[in-house]
Amino acid sequence: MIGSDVIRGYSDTILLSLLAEGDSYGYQLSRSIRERSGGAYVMKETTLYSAFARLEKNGFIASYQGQESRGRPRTNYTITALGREHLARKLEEWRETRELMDRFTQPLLPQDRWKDEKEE
Amino acid sequence: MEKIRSFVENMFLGLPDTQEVRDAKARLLEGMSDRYEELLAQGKDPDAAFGISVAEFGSMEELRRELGGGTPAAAPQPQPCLDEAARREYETFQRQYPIAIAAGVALCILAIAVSMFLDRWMGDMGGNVPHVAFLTIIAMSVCIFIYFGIKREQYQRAFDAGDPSQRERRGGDDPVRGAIMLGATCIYLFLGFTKDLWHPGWIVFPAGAFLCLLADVFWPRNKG
Repeated sequence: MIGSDVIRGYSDTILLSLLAEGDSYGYQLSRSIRERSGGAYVMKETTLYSAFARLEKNGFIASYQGQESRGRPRTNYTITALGREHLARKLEEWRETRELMDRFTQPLLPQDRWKDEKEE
Repeated sequence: MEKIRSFVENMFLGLPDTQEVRDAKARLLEGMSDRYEELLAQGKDPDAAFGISVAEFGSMEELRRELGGGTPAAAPQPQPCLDEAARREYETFQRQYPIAIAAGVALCILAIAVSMFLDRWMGDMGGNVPHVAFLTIIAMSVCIFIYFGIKREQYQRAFDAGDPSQRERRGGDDPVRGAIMLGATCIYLFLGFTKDLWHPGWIVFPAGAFLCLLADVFWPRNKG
């Protein structure tokens, strides 16, 4: 179980990477996160919408009204050019973080190496 | 679905009514409703679906920070302005109060002294004059005590409203003291009008004051 404090720092990266694959709306993104993490991570609604508000405020995503659902237009999100730049920075940052942490954790977690090999 | 809507409304209580907040509320409601419907479609019963949706809602803390909500700005702001002027008034009153009480007590003693003096000076010619003088001066003293007493209670109610022990305390000894002094007054008037015992009769007042002191001992102010 990943601590919510830890994962909160990555919520921007997760959402931007999903939106980089295509426009989406709140619930769909939430479901993608749940499914892709295999149930390991369920992003709380408030975390999700705080992230949307923050990302939109910074100009990394834009919202627009889409097709009707339940009698109301649904709010869709799209990543902006600024957002893509930010995502690239965050991906680089993550790569560096992972490499750094691997140096400390690899000797202690031999099974990780095995899992990585399997994924590749 | 109504339960979901009420839930979201409740979570958003206390946040300012800005466009940003309204948008956030609408979007959160959207997402939560979608999730709820998905759970129902998976065959979960409404209560279980509602429970899961609520569990996945999260805490408003983060959202509040993001929306700059925090505390509702409207209500507390006027208070400091009101308090400022009222506080200065209260400070002035607090300076006047001890002087007023001292003046009241002084008048009581003066009443006795004046009536005794007039009695001796005017002798039999005086008639009721010493007694009238006594009561008149006492009346002034009583006015001062009552006026400042009520004012004090009003101020304390406004400013020290959060202190229940104080309220209890006031409720505790004031009726007792009031009753004692009222009783003393009645006895004095009775003795005076029926037996013409104004002269030794005045002793009821110092006696009453003494009884009040005793009352404080037996029924101490601190009810705690």
